[in-house]
Amino acid sequence: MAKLVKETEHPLFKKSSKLRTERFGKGLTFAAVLLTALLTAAIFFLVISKGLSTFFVNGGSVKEFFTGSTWNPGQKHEGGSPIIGALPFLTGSLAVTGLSALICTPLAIGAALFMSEISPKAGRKVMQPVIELLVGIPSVVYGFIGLSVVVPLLRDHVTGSGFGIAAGTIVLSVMILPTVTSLALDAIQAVPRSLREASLALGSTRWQMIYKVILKTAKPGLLMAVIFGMARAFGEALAVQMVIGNASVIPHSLFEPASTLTSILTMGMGYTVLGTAENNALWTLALILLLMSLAFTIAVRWIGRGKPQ
Amino acid sequence: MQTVAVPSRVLSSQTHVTALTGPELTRPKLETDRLSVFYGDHQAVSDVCLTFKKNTVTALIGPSGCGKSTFLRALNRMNDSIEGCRMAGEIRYDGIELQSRQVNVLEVRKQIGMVFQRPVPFAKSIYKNVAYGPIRHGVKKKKELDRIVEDSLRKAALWDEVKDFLHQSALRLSGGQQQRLCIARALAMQPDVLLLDEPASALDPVSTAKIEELIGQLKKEITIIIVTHNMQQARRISDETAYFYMGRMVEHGPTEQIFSNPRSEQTRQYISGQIG
Repeated sequence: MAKLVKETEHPLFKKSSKLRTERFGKGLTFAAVLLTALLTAAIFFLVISKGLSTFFVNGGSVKEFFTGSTWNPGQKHEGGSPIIGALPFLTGSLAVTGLSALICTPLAIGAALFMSEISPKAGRKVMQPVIELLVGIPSVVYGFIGLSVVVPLLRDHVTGSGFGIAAGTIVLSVMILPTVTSLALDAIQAVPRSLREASLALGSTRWQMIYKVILKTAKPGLLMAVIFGMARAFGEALAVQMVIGNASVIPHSLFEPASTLTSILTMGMGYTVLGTAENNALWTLALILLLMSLAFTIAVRWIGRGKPQ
Repeated sequence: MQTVAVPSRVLSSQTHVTALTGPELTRPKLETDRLSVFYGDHQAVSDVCLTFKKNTVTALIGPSGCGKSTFLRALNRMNDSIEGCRMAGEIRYDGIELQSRQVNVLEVRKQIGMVFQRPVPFAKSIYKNVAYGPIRHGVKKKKELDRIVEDSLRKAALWDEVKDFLHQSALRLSGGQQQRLCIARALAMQPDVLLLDEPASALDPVSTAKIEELIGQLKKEITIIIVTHNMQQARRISDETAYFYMGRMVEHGPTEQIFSNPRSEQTRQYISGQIG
């Protein structure tokens, strides 16, 4: 029988600094992941627990929250529950998001098609930098421009005070346009050249190729681009708050002051005391925002997975 | 002056050409006269003169980068869409100069179909893939489309395999089936000439055999030009062979002669595996 080598003597048991570095790196990245995960979990926990306490601690009615149209969480009904009809903000948020997506989508896809199919040269040289620049403009600037240009324009040439869903929609569509355009461009450029050639080789025109092959193939990607844009629009606070008018009523037209979840949240959060019904009600709005963004993320994931091949 | 002849449709079922005789058939279906293709400053094809007879299969062989694919793509003006690509010389189809201004490039591609190296089915149903061309060119009647789709799939030897799920996505087919679908898609345009750019190089041997058999069937009705890297394939399926090297056409002749007794030393070396 071979003689057993003492552990410390055999080269296989040698300690090396490389191994230590390896372990250190592994630990470092793991710590980063852990911290991120913990933070996310903590934020979720905070928002959910605070948001739900409107219903469980202050005795607010869930039904009223989604269907009531009077928002006054500082006051109480006769039964002692706070007045928390959030329908005006829900409709406001959905309206500006939906409408801005509606305006933005054709523009973004058109711009992306131009940059990718019609004039790639001008697209690369001019449009791409412009769009990257637009992405970088802070939202408060968009809001400021909206306030000083869009609102007066609507007031003078359309109707009302200028504040309202229409102004919010215009500002938001411009704001999400670069994001949606660049994502749409990615989706369109991801369509392989071979598919384009196959279509051309069948004697189709460029327009037929774009319409029937490129848009069709890029559909999941384009949908994702729009959803990303909607997520951004839904969560945007500052710019919208500056132009929407912030009236907690369900507006009868696009040109009457309205409000969104985010605008009420930013308006109110400085003036409430932690732990009160008013404060908790704001957390409930935050919870809705969180859940919506979660829904948008899941939608994007789901579409991404459904992509053929 | 060129006399402009109306291209004759040869795909109707009555026409059955048995021998390459008669005045109509002595004129080549397609010919190039000192055709050169440039990508920017790079000349990919130099002064190629070639003739393609009706109802024959011509194989273009040669090492990678020899310009045979570029040459093929020039024949239905697919190079038009490539930035910086320029052509010189003439391509005559039924005696018509294809690069002339009056020629409608969409019609050119309709009559001179093309199938690429990799199968490229659209993300549509099998039916819509085949119907794509005819619909784009104005066939509207459902019955007519149904007939074209069935005909084309039958000609591409795919009908029996897919007839029960025509409306499912073409992306679910196997690679070999997808390539035959692409051939069916090209046939649906009822082309006079079919250009095949290494149509079997991405396929397994069984699928390859099917495609080769298909080519043998199709040449009864149309003229076929095929680029291939596979020497045995060229020998098996083609009537004529042209050897390309460094953008030039070195030798062109009946396949048997090219393979058994090439005139050029270069051709002989390539065929025996010393070049390439």
